[in-house]
Amino acid sequence: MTILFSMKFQHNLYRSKNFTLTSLLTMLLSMGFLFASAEVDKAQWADGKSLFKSNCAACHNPKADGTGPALMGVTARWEAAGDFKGKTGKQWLHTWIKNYNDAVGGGYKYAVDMAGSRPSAMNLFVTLKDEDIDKILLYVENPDAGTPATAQVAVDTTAPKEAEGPGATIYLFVGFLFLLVIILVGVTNHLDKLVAEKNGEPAVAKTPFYKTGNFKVALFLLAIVFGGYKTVDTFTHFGRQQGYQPTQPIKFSHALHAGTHKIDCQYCHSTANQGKHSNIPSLNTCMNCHKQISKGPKYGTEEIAKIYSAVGWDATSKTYDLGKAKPVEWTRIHNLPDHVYFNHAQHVNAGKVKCQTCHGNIQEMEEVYQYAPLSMGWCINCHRNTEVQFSSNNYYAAYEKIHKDLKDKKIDKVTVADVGGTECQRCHY
Amino acid sequence: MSDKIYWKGIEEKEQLEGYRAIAAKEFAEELPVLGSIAESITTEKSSRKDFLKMLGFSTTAAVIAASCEMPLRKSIPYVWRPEEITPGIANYYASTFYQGGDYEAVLVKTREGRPIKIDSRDKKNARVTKGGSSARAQASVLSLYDGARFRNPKRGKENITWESADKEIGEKLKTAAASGKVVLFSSTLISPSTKAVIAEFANSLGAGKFEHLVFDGISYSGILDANEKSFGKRLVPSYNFGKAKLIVGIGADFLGTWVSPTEFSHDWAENRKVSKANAEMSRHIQIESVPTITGYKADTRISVKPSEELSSLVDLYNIVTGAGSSKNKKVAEAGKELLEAKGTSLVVSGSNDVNAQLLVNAINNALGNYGTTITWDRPYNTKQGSDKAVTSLIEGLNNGSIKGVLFYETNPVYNSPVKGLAEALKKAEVSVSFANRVDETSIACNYILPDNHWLESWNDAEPKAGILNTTQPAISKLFDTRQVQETLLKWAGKEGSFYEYLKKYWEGNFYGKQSTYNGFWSFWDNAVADGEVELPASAGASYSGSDLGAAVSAVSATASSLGDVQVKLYESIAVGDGYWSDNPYLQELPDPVSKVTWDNYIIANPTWMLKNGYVPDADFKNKEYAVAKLTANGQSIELPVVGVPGTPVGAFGIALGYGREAVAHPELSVGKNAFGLLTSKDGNFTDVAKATIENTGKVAKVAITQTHFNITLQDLGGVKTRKTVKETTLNEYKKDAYAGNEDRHEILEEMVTLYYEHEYPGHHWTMVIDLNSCDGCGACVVACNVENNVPVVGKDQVIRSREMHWLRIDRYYTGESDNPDVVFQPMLCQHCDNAPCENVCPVAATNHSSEGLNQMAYNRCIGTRYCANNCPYKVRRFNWYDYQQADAFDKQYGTSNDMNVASETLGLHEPLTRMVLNPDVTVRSRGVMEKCSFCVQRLQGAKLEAKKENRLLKDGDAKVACQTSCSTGAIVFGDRNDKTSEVAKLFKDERAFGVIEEIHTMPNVLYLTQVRNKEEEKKYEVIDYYHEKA
Repeated sequence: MTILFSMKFQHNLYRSKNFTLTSLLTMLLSMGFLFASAEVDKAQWADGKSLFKSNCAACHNPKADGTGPALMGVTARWEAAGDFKGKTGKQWLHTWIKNYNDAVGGGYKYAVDMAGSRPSAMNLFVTLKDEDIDKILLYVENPDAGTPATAQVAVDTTAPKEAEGPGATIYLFVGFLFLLVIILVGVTNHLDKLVAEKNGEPAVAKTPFYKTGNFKVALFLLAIVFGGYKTVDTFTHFGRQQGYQPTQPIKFSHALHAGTHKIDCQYCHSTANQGKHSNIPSLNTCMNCHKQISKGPKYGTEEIAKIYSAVGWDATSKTYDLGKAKPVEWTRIHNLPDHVYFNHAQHVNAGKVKCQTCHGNIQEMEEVYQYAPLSMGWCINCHRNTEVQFSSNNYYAAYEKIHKDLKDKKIDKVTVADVGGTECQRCHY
Repeated sequence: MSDKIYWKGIEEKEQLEGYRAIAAKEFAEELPVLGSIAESITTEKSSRKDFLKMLGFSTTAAVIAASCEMPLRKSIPYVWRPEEITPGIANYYASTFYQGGDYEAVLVKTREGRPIKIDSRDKKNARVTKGGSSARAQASVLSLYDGARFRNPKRGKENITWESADKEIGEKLKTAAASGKVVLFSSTLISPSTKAVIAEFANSLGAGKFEHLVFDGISYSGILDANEKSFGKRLVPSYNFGKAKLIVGIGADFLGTWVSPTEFSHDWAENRKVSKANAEMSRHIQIESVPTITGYKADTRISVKPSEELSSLVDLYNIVTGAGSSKNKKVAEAGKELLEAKGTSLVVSGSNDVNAQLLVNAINNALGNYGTTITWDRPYNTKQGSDKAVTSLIEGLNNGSIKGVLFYETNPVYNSPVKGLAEALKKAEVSVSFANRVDETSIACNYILPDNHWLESWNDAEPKAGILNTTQPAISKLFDTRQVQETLLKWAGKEGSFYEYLKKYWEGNFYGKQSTYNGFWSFWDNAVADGEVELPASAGASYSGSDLGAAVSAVSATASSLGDVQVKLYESIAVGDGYWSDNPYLQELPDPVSKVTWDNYIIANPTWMLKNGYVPDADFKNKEYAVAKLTANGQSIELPVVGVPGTPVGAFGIALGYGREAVAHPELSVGKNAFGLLTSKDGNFTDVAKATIENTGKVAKVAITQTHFNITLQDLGGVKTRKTVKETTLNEYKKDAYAGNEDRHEILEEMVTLYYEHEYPGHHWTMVIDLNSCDGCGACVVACNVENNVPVVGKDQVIRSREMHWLRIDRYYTGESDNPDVVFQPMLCQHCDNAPCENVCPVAATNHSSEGLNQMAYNRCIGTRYCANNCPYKVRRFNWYDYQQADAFDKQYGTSNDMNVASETLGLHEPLTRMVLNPDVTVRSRGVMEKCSFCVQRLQGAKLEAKKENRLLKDGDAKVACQTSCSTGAIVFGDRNDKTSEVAKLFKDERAFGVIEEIHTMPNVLYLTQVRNKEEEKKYEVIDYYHEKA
């Protein structure tokens, strides 16, 4: 497979005959890497994988062309391009990854050709250290080495469990008790009767318990209590939509994107970190990847074609016709009443809350549904239990008294509620 | 001082029965019940069955409405998200507001691409207005979303396309230019590039075929013509109110409306902020007839008739030149003080009489004020109109020399006293109005080519010489309109957009004059980003006084010709020259002086009214006002008479700008047009005239808010004992910084509480308002309305005391009835630490936050109104109706009952108008209480920014809307827990006091004592009304 991919890639990239030799060498080398994959350092590989996911995965896939080329075998390709100005091909690759302009500016021929071969420029990663790049390259060359042994996933799958309401067990238990009471009453009645018989007293026709006044009153009260509870409960649930799963205009699969491909949530929902709303990505975000990927594993080209038509992209001529563009009308799943103010940045950025906490295991959802009840009780409960970034965020330095209490061990944690997070005007104004 | 009595109106001073009835009750009138249903209940006998029917119906309706599934909501993302737009985060664009002489340096707040709020630019980029903004600029954002704007070009009433308009008008202009002239008739334009565009257009017509006539509805012709004579420049110079130690204003409302009020009030207040460290302030004497906020804020207000405003000018001239004195002792005293303050004084007059302004120039010159308090380096460009323009236009049209007229930002058919323009326009070959909403002039024109709204336009402005501003569009144009400049360029045969022209103009004319930026693009980008660029000042001008004998005798003659009964026509803070008269925010802003909303009226002396039978409703029970007929210059006007203390007997005042006939929202047009009463004299229109007045015997209702939400209830301790405002004199203050506030120690010491005290672990939001700086202008009220989606309720509702303003400005009188001292006090929720409202809410909808906010949870409120009843400050407002279409129910189910009438007439139910609403603030529905939230959305926003940036909240990060709009800097807001913050320091100031804090509410809004710079505190007779009447 590796060979096939690299052949395809190189075929695209280098039509010049000069590169035939290089290609051959690359093939050989990448095969070598494939065989060597068994001996990969697990820890380094895992680091490399996470670095790759956070820095590179938006444009690159080790095994397939995306916005950037497939990367498997990249080390060999650069090494094959030879030394230049006292630096090896691999060192030049490092230079390129940090700031591709330096490599091009340095006059390294492979880099110059590379820059000319792709329309969009690569991002700068000047902060990456050399050892990090090595780790990334290790992962890139052996993308499958870690599986299945290291199945850890970037996304936190431990979504909090909602406190369960009175479940079936409770009802069963109550039913059982009720039955017990009836049986016991029957038994006592029977025993009374036996005692009366034994004593030779005449059998008195006893009023059955269900005909007694007390029972009727109790039944009435029970009906009122139960009916009242049910009414209030029903009314409080008006407008709540837990489990709401409308049909969307495009069968977009979070399971595929966030689950299988492990694309970071905020790659698409980028404003969740900055503002009130977590944006539904505009179509240009989709096109970052889908310029290249026009076929999905499940629906083939059908669903992706909808994106193309909405954004006005002509897949054959690879050009945009913005005149034909029309926005996609998604159905909103998470609706809050107008009198509730919710800010994503407050939770995602300041609170460092995981998306899954409120949205559930979105990376497993083929179609998204509303995971949480989004009721006020649910919000408040979380505010009571969740700790704020009290020590790590300098903003909270203003809360001197609480800091003192923490220091004096009077309290051991600071929850959202402790800094006023359950007050009305935090969410209603 | 404790022995002073304060009152808000005569009705309160005299404790009239009607007033007492209102004041003692929680609500002004009996509780209304549901309109039509109520009728059947009250007129027919309602039975138990009816009750059950209603109950059944309402329950079923509620169940049907509630049990329906949530509506399907769409989320529609951008196809290509613009890089600068993050949904939910506001973008701010520096821009410039300019309309008919009002200039403001503004910052436009947009959300998801729509402008929702006008703020001021930073002080460093607002060299003229210095960080405040006017009520009009604040309210102008609403006019953007006015559904009544013209949506496309029109020929008469017929809609046409721009192509056909260009073609037809182009041909007609050619014919017009062949046989006569084409005139562009406009208000003062301050855009240099627009003037260049006009020159291009003029060139295209050929030499001598074009004339630009400039006319301003509120005329400054007098001062301009006088300056032309004295200085050779037909401009208004720079006034430095901040440098003047003695200010003498003669009928010039420089804090409210005169020339550049935002700037002047900033400078004026700068010099009047006293502290223990700097216990010096300027002295301000105002000689005026019809009261203005400037007069009310003066240390000494000399109440004279309009004619005496003129004669006192002559007197002052004589005094400073040593040629005589004044019969009026107070004026003579003022003259003496002026002589003692040579070089540091400033005399300004609002008169539009050339001779009077010549005297003002001579006085300032004799006092050596030119070069110190008045400078010619940066004169104003905002006032350049000539009153003669209208006459020459009519003459030109009638004699055939003018064949084509273009009207731009002007409405002379309405706002000039000269008649016959509409008739004369019929003789023109072509007449075009560029108005974007209907006005009296546009309906008299053949064509209407609607201009963009200023928030949709590129432009520039030079309000003062060398201070260049940019206007940038904050939204794409909403309708098929076209900027005037584009139109003129097109007609001039110039290719390219106005934006390109503008840039090229700046490159050619301004880039070379500065040295800060290297490269035009960096210059231009920075100019647009900052909104302002300062170029070197122009050369000054020197005074050349001619013989003023003629001027003296002319002014004296005018003064004596005015007779005993005189009328003064003035510009109101809200509606200006009439342009704003259908802006609901401005109409509902109570006039700072009279507290009247939704009307104009005749201002008169209250005592005179009582004596002469102009008070039909002596007990103030029906809130009715006598309608009088006032005649001047052969024109009559019938308006209700409203007493305003401080008006001299024999003087009457009427606001201009009301009574529009052709207006986009006729239902909002109120009052009568008083422009016809202006006197035309030597071609200029003067605002004073000899008048006669007679009682018509009719009565009218006027929506006056002065006694609404009164907190000095006699029955709760009396007007005397409640400590609402405190004041002292500068001398007293110098002796003891606690002067006027001596009792505060005692009050604080006596405070005992049974309640536990709140803890404020993080922030403790606090506001301090300096009564000395606040001039009551009302910009904060409108800013608050816009920021917090505060509904406009209409005249009828205001009469019923139901205005919704979260922030009102209480105005207290004290001293003589005929010329009282005045204190303005902005009153808003005091966010008491010990709040009486919190204890009485049965559902805990209002409670206390850990940051010191008195919170109001609308969705929890069930509308018992107990809180409003228990609030000693009367700052809580109840939504009697669904004023802003918050409830989907009415709309969905089409129940257009009378519950919505009030708001529907105000257009706030229109989807387009609702675009102005702040998306971060809930739109309140019917039946809930609301009040000032200390702009909690801004506080939360500022806190979030700090958290995102991993830093402490800095003083000044969180600013409330009223504070940002305040030009005098009277409102200071911040976190009291931050010991370094300004507000924490002011909270401990010797002048700081809480309103009626003796009842131990522990307010988080403190006020600073008003300090008057006058010789001694007058002693007043102590009257204990409470015991007297009881």
